[in-house]
Formats: sequence, C-alpha cells, structure tokens
Amino acid sequence: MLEMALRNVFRQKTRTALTVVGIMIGIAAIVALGSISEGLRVQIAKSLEQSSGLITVIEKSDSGLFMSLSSSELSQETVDEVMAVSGIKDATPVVYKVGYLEGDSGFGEPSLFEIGVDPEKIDLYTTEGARLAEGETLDDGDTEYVMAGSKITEKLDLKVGDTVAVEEKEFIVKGIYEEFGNSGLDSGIIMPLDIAKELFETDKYSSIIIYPDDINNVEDLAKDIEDTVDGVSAITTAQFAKQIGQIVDQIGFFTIGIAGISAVVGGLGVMNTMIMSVMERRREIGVLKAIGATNSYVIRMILIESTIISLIGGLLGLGVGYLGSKAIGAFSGGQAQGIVTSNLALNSMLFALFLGVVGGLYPARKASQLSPVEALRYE
Amino acid sequence: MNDIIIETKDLCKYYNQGKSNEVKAIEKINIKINRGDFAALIGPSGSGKSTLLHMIGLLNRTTCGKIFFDGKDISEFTDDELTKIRREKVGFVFQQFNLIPLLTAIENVELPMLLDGMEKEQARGRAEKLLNRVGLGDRLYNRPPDMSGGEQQRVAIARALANNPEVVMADEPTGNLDTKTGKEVLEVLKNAQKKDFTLIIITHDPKIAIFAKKRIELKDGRVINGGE
Repeated sequence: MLEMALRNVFRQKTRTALTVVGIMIGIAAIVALGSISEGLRVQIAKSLEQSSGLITVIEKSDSGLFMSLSSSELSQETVDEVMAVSGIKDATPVVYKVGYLEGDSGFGEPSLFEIGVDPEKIDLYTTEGARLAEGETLDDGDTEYVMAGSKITEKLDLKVGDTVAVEEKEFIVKGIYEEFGNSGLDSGIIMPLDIAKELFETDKYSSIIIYPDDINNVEDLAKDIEDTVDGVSAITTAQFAKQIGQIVDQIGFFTIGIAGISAVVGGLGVMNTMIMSVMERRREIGVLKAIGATNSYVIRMILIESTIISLIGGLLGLGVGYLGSKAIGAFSGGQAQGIVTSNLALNSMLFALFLGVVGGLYPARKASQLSPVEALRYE
Repeated sequence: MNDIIIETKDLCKYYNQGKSNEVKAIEKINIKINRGDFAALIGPSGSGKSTLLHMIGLLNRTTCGKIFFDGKDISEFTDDELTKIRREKVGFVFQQFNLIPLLTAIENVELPMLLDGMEKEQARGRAEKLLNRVGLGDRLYNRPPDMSGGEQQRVAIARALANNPEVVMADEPTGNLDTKTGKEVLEVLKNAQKKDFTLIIITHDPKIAIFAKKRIELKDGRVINGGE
C-alpha cells in the first residue's frame, strides 16, 4: 500500500510540490522562530547562572521589572539605608545608562551600556565569572580609564591603551574582558562610579548589587531589604529568571502561534489537494472497492498519502527552518542565536504529521463512503 | 453444496425513491443461476441489465426483495461483509476495463490477492501464471495506458480470476472492442470458464448470447424471459 500511495502522491507532481511547500513554510517558520526563542532562553539562563546568589535593589515601581530597571533612581539616603541592613556581605551601588553607537538602528538589544561602578567593587558587578582578556582592572583613582566588554571591543576595534569617547569624554581602555555571555557586560563600558555620576549629571543611583552573607539566605535577605527600606524592590536571580522566563514564554507562544497559523493553512492545502485527488480518482476507488478493498483500506490509503505529503513538507520545513534560524543569527550580528533542540524538531514533525492526518481525514472518509457503483459510473 | 449460486426474490431497485423523479430501475426480479452456468443478461439499453448485475455482484444495495448468494441472504450484510464476499468469490470485468493506470499489468492482477492477504511473492507468481494464461506473458510490466483495449481487457480478466472466484460478472466486456478483438477476449473468457466458475455476462451481441447456456432477457426493468 505504501508503494501505491507514493505513486499516487507523485502522480500530480506540481500540485503535490505546491502542497508540500505550504506545509514546509509553516513548519520552517515554527522551527526558526521556536529556535530563536529557545536561544533567547538559553542565553538568559546562562547569564543569570553567572550572577546567581546576587540581589539587585532598584526603585520600587509598578511599571514592570524591565521598565523599572531602566528608569530606577535611588537616592544616596536610600542606598545608605539598604547597605545598613544586616546579612549583607558586600554591596555596591551602580549607575548605568544605555548608550548609542554611530550607525545603530535603535532596534533590538542596545549595543552599548555605560556603567559606573566603584573600582574596588568592580568584581561584584562583573561577578566572578568574568575574565580579563587583556590589560588590568580599574584601580581607585583611575579617573581617566575604563574597562570594555568583548562585543563593544570588537565593534569599535579597541585595544588596551586606545581612547574611547563616552558621552563626549575621552577615556583610555585599561582592560578588556573575555566574552561573558551577558550583554550587560559584553556590550558594556565600565568606568568609576563618581566619574559616571558626573558624566550622566546625576546624584542618583540606578541599582545596588548585593552579595549576601549566606548564599542560601538570598530570598530572606531580599525580603528583609524590602521590609526595612521604603520604596525599593530587591530582586533575586530566581525572580529575574522567573520573570524573564515568563516574557520569553509569551514571546515564544506569540511567534510560534503565528507560525502555527501558517502551518494550519498548509494543512488546509493538504486537505484541498486530497479532496481533489479523491474526486479525480473516484472511478479507481470504486474499482478498488469492487475488487475487495474495505472502507478502512481506502481510508488508510488516503491517510498515508496525506501523511507522506505533510511529512515531506515537515522535513523540508525543518531543514529550511534550521537554515533560517542560522540566517537570523547571522543577520542580527549574533544577538539572536537560534537553537534547534531535538524537542523542537520532534514537536514540529509531530505537528506536520498531525496536519497530514487531520487534513486527510475528511477526504479519506469521503472516499471510503463512495459507493462502488456510483464511483464506477463516474467518468 | 448448493447448486444455485445466485437467486433473487422479488428484487427491486428504485432511484430517488419517493421523489417526483423516482426511477424504478428493476422490479420484481426472480432469477436463479446455477453453479457453473454461463448466463447472459440481454435486453435493450435501459432495461436494467447493469443494475441487476451490480445487485447480484453485491456492488449495490437492494431497495426491496432479497438476494441469496451461495444460499445466504445477504440483504442484512454490512459493507465489509459484502466486500469480503466480493473479494473472495466474485470477479468483475467491466466494459471500460477499469484497471488502475498507475499499476503495471502484473500489479493490477496481484491487487485482489494482496487485498485478500496473500504474500507478495505468492501473489506475483500467480499473477504471472494468470497473465500467461490470457496470452500476456510478454506484457507483465506494461501499464494500462501503454496497452491496447484488447490487452487491457485481458488483464482485467486475469484480475477477475485472481482469487479463484465462484462467479465472474462481465458487463459488456467486448462493448469497447472491435469485432475481432472482442471475439478473442470472449474466447479467453470462455476458455477460462471451463475451469469451473459461473460466468454472468451482459451483452448486446446476439452472437455471444448464443453461446450462453442460460439467457435472461430483461425489458423495462422486468425479466420477460429465462428467469427461473
């Protein structure tokens, strides 16, 4: 039966090819977009892992975690209050600002973060995972120097000792970090806290990075800070992960949902093709039934045909989607890294299979219900 | 074993029943066909020959009356049960040949055997023998569109014989062939029939009808001669 189904599928080559393309586009979109959101998740998880155990304190706001992060302003008084809470091993206030490079589209992830940190506490900001590729870290009193992340170094073609302009002030690059996997550092230029405040013309801080006495007490400490100091949110990595995870999930649902719709349209194409194929082969189906094919045989035959079409579409879609995700990665300059997991591949193939079966059911049922005599009479 | 292979009692078939355009295709048909008979269904166009053949060939449901096939009343049989009887006991030869164009001659002949669950190799061997028997030993791997009408009809005969049927039903098997080819095809059928199956044939051709042991004549949906 499989051989016969294959021959039937390729009987109308153009029609079959177009139907396959319909499924392929849908599945490719699912794979490409799914891989991007998977990549996003992995990238975020990786950078969060490196900063696990830390607490970030920001100004309390109702506008959501990420809006608050960019607009947070903490006064010196608040910072002092927070740092006085017991259970803190080490802490540093940070100021930062999103900067722009010439030629930036302003779309997607910012390509430059300007960060001000106390030079003595710089390890707290960069966490222990960051390694120097070149040069040295900032020392107290290094007012003319900055540290640069790997991506920004690459973009501006920097070396240790080069000058770089931040907010129209020129600095000398003292050290360059290895790639870290966190865009806050990789795209960052780190300068002494006081210089940054001067440069950004502010006496407020963006956030405080806190390292607890006991890493197992992170959540308790965060709660203590929020209870003790008015108007601040103390966010732990776990909370970050949860919130970011939700956003990534939403993005994933949305994009895969849209791609899914296009795949469903492909599935309708399969149904249409199979209905036409059954109509054209009424007589043959009548003959098959006359010489002894049961209704279930006819149903299986049509379902195998529709499944062959959708699986070929699915496989091609998987390939095209994989290439598409690589292409998106390349076009975005490595900002969006697609990861095609085996789960994603398997699910997209199962979806293609599902479309084939569902698309084939109605025509298969129609075909099986044909009366052999009526079908034989059909010219 | 029952001597009568097919019997009908007050068999009728109406189309569009109860509507203004109701057609009584056949009515009150009572016929008996014995095992091993060569029976011809004759009559003018529209007399109900094909409808009757489809009914006794279990391709269509009755409106009223009964059909006994091999002694069994098949009126209450399910579609799948009827299909099983057709597969095992009935072979069809149609005027339009009705081969599957995608399949080669030998694959067309194998098909009823494969549908009946026979192993592929065994089916192939038997299909080859059958095609040899109808004189197509050198055309096994040709597809129907590449064959002449007479050749296609011989493939159809081989296919009808595939599962060793008890009855072969042929609906004007020579109707689409020229006289000479028609005669050859008929020879093939008649020769095969010697091997003990019942042959029921619809024909317009008096010369064919003469060969038949039993002639059932229909007019306006009723048997006017030779039913019992």
